[in-house]
Amino acid sequence: MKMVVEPVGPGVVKVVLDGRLDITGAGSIDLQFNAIAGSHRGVVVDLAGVSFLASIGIRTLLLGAKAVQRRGGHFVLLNPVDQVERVLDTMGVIDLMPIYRDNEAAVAAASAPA
Amino acid sequence: MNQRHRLTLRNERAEIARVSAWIDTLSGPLGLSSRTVQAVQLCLEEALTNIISHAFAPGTVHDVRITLWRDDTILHVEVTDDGVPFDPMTYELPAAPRDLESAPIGGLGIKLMRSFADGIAYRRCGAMNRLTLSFLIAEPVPKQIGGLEPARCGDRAVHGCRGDL
Repeated sequence: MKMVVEPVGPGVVKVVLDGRLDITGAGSIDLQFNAIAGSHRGVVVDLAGVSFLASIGIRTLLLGAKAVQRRGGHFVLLNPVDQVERVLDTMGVIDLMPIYRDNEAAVAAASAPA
Repeated sequence: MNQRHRLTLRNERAEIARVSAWIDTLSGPLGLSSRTVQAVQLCLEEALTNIISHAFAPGTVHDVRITLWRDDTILHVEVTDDGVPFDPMTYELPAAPRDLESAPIGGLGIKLMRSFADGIAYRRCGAMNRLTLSFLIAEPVPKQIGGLEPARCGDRAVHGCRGDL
């Protein structure tokens, strides 16, 4: 699992994930992902390169979203592939972590005032 | 006779990584679509995470066995372990979260397993848990493995406690 962090505005980052967000993949990014979520007011998670999502990966995303929202920020998802979106939908977490198909719209949503 | 494919794991989390690679190698010979492959990988990861995390006393070493076979329309995946009895079908699922703050971060895997498998059966057989997941498959049986018999109702390896596993 690869993770690249790109600043996209003051206090706002895009986290680009690449690989499988399964028990191995989630374990390899958890620490860094939590640190990013805990220190930014806006986070866009680019999921286009994530080919597989299991419950352990949903846990990673949910913990990040909780950390951002707790400080009044916004945590949004960008471009999940079909399998990943089906898993998010099945778990009923789409309402908690909005999905965007457009990079600019995702960045705008993550950058919105609290 | 339907060819059975077997994989045995130790009860360590790192072992789970072997499963998806194993399913990938079987997808061609068994003629599975990528959608079926992902559903099987997802359900197995969730089942194995639960078993390895909760079924055994800390520090003890156990095997978890996976047996997989297909007939014309169904892929069968059986997981057996000698851990504490656990029936994922009777586990009460957490309600859909209303907001982020109350969203549970545990108990998600069983819900995924129940959603992505087309059938789940559980049996306690003596000291063993036997979990059978089934997946409906539209893809035809590849010609090179032809000659399969359909699964028989009452097949001991599927429904009984003394299959030749």
